[in-house]
Amino acid sequence: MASQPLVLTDPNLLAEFVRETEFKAFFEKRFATPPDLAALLFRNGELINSFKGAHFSVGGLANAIKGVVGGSTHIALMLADLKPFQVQIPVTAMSKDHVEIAGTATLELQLDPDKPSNILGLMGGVSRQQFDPEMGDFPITGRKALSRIDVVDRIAPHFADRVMEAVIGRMEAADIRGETGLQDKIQADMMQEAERICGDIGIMVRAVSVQWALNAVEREEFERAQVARQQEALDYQLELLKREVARQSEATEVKVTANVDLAKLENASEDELAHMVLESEVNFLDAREAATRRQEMQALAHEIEVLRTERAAKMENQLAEASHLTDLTKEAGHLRETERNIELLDAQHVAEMKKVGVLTDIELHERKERIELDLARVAAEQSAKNLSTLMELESGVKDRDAERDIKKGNASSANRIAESKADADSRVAQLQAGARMTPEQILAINAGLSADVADVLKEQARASSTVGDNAMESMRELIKGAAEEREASRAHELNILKAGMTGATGVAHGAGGKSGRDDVSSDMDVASAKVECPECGRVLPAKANFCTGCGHKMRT
Amino acid sequence: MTAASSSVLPRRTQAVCCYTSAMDKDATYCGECGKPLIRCMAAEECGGLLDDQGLCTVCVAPQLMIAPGALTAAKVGSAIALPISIANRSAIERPLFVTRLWSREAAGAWREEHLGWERLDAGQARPVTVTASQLTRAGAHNIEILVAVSSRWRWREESYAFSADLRLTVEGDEEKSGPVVTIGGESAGHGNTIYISGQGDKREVLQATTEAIELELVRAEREERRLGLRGLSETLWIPKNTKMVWRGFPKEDTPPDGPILTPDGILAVGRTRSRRSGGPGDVRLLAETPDGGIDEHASRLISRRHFELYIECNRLILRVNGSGGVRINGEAYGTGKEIALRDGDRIEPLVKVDGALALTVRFQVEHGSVAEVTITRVPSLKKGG
Repeated sequence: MASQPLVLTDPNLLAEFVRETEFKAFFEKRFATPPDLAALLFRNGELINSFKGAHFSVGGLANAIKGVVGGSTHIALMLADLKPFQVQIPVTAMSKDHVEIAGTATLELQLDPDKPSNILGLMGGVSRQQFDPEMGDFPITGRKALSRIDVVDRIAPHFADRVMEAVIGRMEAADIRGETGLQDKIQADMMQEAERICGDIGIMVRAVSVQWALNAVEREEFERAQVARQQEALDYQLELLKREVARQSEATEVKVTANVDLAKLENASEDELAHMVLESEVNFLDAREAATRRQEMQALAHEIEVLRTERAAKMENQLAEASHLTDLTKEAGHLRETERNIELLDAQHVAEMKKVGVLTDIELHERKERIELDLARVAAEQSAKNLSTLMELESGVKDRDAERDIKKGNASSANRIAESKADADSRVAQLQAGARMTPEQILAINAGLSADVADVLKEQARASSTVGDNAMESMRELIKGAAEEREASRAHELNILKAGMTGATGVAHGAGGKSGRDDVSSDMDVASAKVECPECGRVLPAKANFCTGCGHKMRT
Repeated sequence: MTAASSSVLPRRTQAVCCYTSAMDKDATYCGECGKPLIRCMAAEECGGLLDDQGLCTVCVAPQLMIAPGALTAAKVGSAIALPISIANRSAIERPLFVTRLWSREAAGAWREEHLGWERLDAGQARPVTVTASQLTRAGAHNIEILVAVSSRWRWREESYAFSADLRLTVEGDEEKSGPVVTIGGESAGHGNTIYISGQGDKREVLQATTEAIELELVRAEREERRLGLRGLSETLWIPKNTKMVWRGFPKEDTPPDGPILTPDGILAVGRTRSRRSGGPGDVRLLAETPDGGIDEHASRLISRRHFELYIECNRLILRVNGSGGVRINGEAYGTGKEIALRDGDRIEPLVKVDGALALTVRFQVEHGSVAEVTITRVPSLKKGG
């Protein structure tokens, strides 16, 4: 029979009693809970066990009969979700600079999978009463389920002052955003609080993050920054205009023409000048184009000057480089000359030394150098030795540590090996009992004789001879003899059998005058007969199929 | 003899008639079935005949046992040390040398285990621990153990590899299926019996053996070649029953064409007369003058037992005995040197007289196994075959 899955009826529920109507059936019903749900089984209101993934078989005729015999018991089953879940709670606090800070804390919570039964501690006010179909609602005494909201309501008040106020109160409002250290602190404190409050009622806080709303300081800062940006843009525009005006004034030139006397013009007051302008005695002529042309000409002249200077400098450099190369060539020539002179002098010096016989001094010098080299070598060896001793000491310590670890690790297996030794020893004893055989015994046994016969033969061989080699020879002969005898006796048995088989027709045989006895004796004669191998001349028993010396086939 | 002691008897690998014939120490063929009698190199001590794979079951009889208390089940991610013991079940006083030991999981790479000892006397058993490294997956794991053993006789050594399989159960970490809760009741939800099954299933994951378990050892000839214990290469080997063919020699100077069937399995090549001619040698080598006479001066440079030829570890070995040495493919080798001969090799017994006398080696190969080795004398003797 397939099992029906038992699951929570709403994704927002954390725990729920299975409705008793589920169990109502005349025939047996089977249910299964997945491993991510805990199933808490109650009998007469008492929790008797909790399971992670289980099969339930309920009702049925056979069980009903047992119920009649044993009396009745109230059974209830509660399912609890063990998967992590997420809840969000609003948080507010006051910063160090007395600004109201608001935000949303996101908490990752989970029922403790090791202690799912502790969830009962959260179910204050939860009743296991039946849903009333007539009233259409849960009775006021309680509900049959625990939701995520219930859990949040239970723990959220503890976070407000103890965590948020305490942490935020130490921070300036402007420093809160983007501060991961602060987030970590809040997470740690909330975990600690949750452990303190809900540790024994089966709730674990897995992670906490707070998303901050815009606080007053940040808002002001934001507005200030906005105004500043606008002001900056205006300043920039002003600057642009100023530069334009300056360019205009630089490029503007006015020619003044006057119909009046220059002396009069110079002596005229401002008002008189204004009057003259009005009377058109003085005229302003725009000379802007001419000024622009002049400016362009000036720029061109400047550019030409720059180019000329650059060319001149480049030329100068090239000249300097060329002269430098010439100097270098000359110097190299000098150097080679000097080297040649030195070599010549050296050769002369060596020749003179040889003449005077100072070579012994040179040898002494070489010996000294050799001694110095030896000393250096000894010193190097010594230091290498010291270094290796030091390394050995260090590795010795490590080895001892490793040895201790190995001893510790192998303690149990060593024990087992010790246990095995007794067993192995007993087997070894068995092995040794049979491990004292001679090659002849091995041959004899392999040749099909029993080990006991081989022992007897060995003793006979030993009795018949005193010299070791002869004993072996005798042994070989005896084994061979025994094997042949066995063959002969087998042949004899066959003959007897044949005689028995032909006994029924013995009369006929008798009439023919033949006797089985003659046949046997002739067989024995054949067995004792010898033949010679035509290939290698080896003497073989007449019954041999092949030559034991060269493998020649004796019979066709 | 009791049943217990009969267990140490060597395994019979040839027909009974062959053993009967082999009791004649000069016999080289079975008088009954005509099969060549290939004896163990230590036949003098063990009297054994080799099986068709070149193994003497009298000398080489290793036994592998798992010690009692060894774990045969483990958890995923754990490592296991298996205490095992290796015994020498040889029925005679022949020591066995355990040279190397490897282990591996499934078809993984071989991992060499540390062996602190080598020699196993007859009847002796010595312990060694094989470690199965971290077992990362659940299920039945196969641990394979490979043992390299050697049998030694004077300077000669035959090496073999044997493998054994061991099954190890690794339990997964995953949760076991949940229990079944039976709630009995006259009416739904009101029962009197609650039966919870499956909760008593607290199996001990680490299972240990209570008695020593013998593991069957089988020859691992491919591993032998891969490890270089036997054969010339992974794809070429010379079995003991390889036919030796002699060309360019007078008939009486060589043994008959066929496997090497001397009692010690060695062919002595040198100046002395061959067994066929009543001498102590097997192959007679003499230098010849261009007109067909014996070059006494050059022949004196060849020792009576100049070199020996034998098959060891599925290789044709030349061991130099003569004081003059031997040149193989132009390279000179002194006394005591052992060289594995290969197809196309040229043996020159006269190191100092270039090109006077040479023997060429040719292999005829069938599926990697050399069926025939032809040794040709150059120059061929006029009266030779």
